[in-house]
Amino acid sequence: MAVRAQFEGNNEIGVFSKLTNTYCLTAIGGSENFYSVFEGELGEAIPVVHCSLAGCRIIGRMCVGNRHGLLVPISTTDQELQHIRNSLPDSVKVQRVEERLSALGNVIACNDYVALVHPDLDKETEELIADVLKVEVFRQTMADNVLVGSYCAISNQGGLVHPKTSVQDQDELSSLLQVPLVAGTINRGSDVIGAGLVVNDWIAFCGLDTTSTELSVVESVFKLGDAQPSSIAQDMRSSLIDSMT
Amino acid sequence: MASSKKKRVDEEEMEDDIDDDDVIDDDDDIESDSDDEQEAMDQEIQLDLEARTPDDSDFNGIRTLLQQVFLKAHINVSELADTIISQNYIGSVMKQPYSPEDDDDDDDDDDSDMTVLALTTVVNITERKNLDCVKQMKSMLSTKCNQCAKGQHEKFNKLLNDPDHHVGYLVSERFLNLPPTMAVPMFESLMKEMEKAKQKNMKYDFSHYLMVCKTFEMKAAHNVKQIMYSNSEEELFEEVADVCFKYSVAHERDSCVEKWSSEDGMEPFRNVIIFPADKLSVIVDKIKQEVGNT
Repeated sequence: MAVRAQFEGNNEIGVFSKLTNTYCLTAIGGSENFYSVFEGELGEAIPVVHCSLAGCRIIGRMCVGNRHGLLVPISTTDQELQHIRNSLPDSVKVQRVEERLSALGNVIACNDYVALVHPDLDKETEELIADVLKVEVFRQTMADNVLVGSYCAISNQGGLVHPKTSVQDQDELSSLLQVPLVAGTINRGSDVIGAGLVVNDWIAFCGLDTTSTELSVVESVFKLGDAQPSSIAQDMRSSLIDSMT
Repeated sequence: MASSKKKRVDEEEMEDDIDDDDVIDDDDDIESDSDDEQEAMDQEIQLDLEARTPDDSDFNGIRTLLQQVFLKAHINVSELADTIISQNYIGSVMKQPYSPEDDDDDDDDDDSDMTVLALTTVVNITERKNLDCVKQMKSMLSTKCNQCAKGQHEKFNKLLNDPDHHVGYLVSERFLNLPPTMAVPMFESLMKEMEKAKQKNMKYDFSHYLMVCKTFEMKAAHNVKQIMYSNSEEELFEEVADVCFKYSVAHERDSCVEKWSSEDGMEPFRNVIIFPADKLSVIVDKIKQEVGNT
């Protein structure tokens, strides 16, 4: 299922939230309406945590995470880190990263198995990503853009990438990620996919301006609709990828 | 590129019912009349402006202007912008005219000279009461009225929810530094368009207009509070208002803007005004005089 939401009149909800298969972070200070959308859809399944990072509300752009872990920038305060650690399940490792490119959400895109990162990321950061998030790391660009995290959204089912990504690039990215990719837009033609959309394996939230066409593309590429291929095929693929990593 | 040029030609054909002459005359006024507006900068900038009917390419510009009014309130401004575009026989947007020579310099930039600088239109909120954005706007304003001006709450709700008397949401937004001179031709063409629409039996026969104006309260010396209107001509609407109240939006703005304005001792407000429809032409004449005097 894909749901539309808005943060204080702003459609770039990916900036103010981070969604994974085991937890969801939302920014402090938004209207109650924004939370109730997330709480209503996720409340029973995974924890929805209100937090800030380094005093900022743009948490979706500053941190990166998946089912296994969460990486936050070095400027995150001890108090914020403690709050996040207390609120997340014990299986999720939370780690601060000393990285020059501190907007981790902009420079890293990942699902539970693979991460695409900015070509200039530190070697140490790359190792930490592989270690904490338990993923394979690839240095990549998205339609000649180095901010891979901003211009795509990926889950374990599929991915939506920058509308100007060439077919060759899509094929290459798709073979790295082992999921189908579609080039498209969100929020009525916005190419900043990562800012307009947050997605996990069973639900997607996108900006209020997202058209129904864009929404149906999101539902089909992330396999969020009811018409899904048999679960056996899906289970087999994830275990195959598991054994590869 | 070819396709976008074609679109512009279409736009120019569409603007038949807007008085372009008025607008161009207006440029001369701006040059001579706005000295006092500009004295802080001591510099005049000449602008060519052109009024057009709103179309799909104006969506983002219209949305930005509307967002300035409602800030973080939970109102679907995209839907409101769509509504304004859908009724393109009413209202106009002000833009800088398209000139092909400018465009040759850098092709990437062609969106920026198409910025919507001002917007004047009216939305029938009685007729369109089923739209989400209208519902949200009404309930937000009603709540604010109850909080800030309890005495007027009953009257406010009665005016807003009377199915027999139509209320129009009068939108008059523009960039902050543009002079009030611009408002006159825009209001005049709006009234002309409404007259035309009425003749075609469309529902633009209002009993009242609703306005939401941006204002600031300056804490001057001796605890005297001075109210400043962002669009200074809107002060004249308040004089004939049936219902008029204001609510503070100090905490709804972006955090860095908040910091600056609190240092200046300015608190931002939104003034909500409801005035009888027959007063509109009187006020526009008055604005014309005031603008002529300065």
